Amino acid sequence: MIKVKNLSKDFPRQKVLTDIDFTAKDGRRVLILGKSGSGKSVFLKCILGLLVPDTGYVEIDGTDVSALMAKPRLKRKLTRVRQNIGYVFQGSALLDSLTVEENIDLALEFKRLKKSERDRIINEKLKLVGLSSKVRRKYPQQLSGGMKKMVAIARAIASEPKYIFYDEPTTGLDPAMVVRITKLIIELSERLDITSLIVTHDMGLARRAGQDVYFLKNYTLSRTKKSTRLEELYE
Amino acid sequence: MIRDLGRYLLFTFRAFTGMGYVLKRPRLILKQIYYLGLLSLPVISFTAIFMGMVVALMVTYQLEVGLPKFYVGATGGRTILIELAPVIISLIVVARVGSNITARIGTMKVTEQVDALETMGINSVHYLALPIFIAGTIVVPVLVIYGNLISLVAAAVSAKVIADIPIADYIFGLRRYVILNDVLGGMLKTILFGLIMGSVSSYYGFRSELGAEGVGKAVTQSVVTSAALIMIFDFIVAFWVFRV
Repeated sequence: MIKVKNLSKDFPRQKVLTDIDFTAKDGRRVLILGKSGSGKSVFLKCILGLLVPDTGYVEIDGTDVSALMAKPRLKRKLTRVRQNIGYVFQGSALLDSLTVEENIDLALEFKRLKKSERDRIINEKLKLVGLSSKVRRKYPQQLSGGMKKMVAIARAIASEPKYIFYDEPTTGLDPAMVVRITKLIIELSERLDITSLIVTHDMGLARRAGQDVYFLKNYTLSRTKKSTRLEELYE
Repeated sequence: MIRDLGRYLLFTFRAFTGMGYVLKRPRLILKQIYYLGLLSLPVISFTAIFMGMVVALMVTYQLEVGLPKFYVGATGGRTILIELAPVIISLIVVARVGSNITARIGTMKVTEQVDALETMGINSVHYLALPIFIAGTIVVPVLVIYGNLISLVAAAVSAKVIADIPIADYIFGLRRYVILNDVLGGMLKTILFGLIMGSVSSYYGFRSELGAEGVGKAVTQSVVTSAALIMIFDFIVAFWVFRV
């Protein structure tokens, strides 16, 4: 379970998050909605410690992550927590200089598996996201935006994490690919029992995939009722 | 400025704490050696040839005052080995490779590739910066040795063609007056310059602000700082090794 209490984060001359309280229960698909620039991605990064919150408490599976972020010497412990989380970045964030298989292999690095085992996992994950093993030797710049997203998801699930964070997973994709990614997010959470935190402003994705829905507005995050029409939140 | 120096030293120290990680993955170093070294050979060859030719030209010009012909080999050789090749080749590497490293890491930061490494539990400084430090420290001296040879040959040939200085006289001057200390002093500088190039360019890549403008600014700072540090350490090493 992920628990966040009183989390605040400001940038110079810019207020972003104030006193955020948030809970993501195991196995749920939790949506975080909000207008562009409202701080949704910042919130995800604060949970992971990619950005250090100014104040507040973050707990992942009982580990006080906020304490680990505050002290660089505890970085190894933070790294161990992160190894249980897959992250799908908005722009996919595949390493340009590495092939698809090398990108996925990076996520397996800490597992110390044999090459044959890693190969098997790479093929398995590519298949799971609907890509053939022919893309293994391709570089990210040889792939379409949708395929990059698929590879990013394959990389995120390679180490079989308990959590996946999706940052705008459908932005910039064609409608067919949006449907495919949405289905994939639901399928992965159900098949692999993954807890998903999904930052988006795609209403289609929100309606299909959302189980718990939060809305970020005026620097604070509030949980919405099931009866709320999602469009109303943006009005 | 002092704060920036402190950050740079801390960054360099943190990078070196990943030595065990990088040594277990020699491919990371080899990739950088290929990139920094092999791909720099054409521009180094070009620079070294013209450097040798200019040195020969300038030294033969001084023969007008009645200096012996072997002076071209003696003075030209020492100038190339001690000063010109180490400094100019290092500056060329900074311009060609250092700027590229900063831009590459800066772009990786902008496109969240650095964050992606961290989320996978990989220390981005160990993974991206340390192999560049190590490769720079190996490659720059090797490139300078290569540049030395090309320059010395180019100087000999151009002295012969321009001023009819016999090759034998050139070699005599070189062998008679160039001592081991000249070569070692020059090489000592290059090890330091390689480390400066690798660490400064990586540091500014990681420090670059988001956006194309931020990356551009980081590249400029990286090249200017590397060049300035190379000149400062050139003087310090020269003062230490070659002081009479």
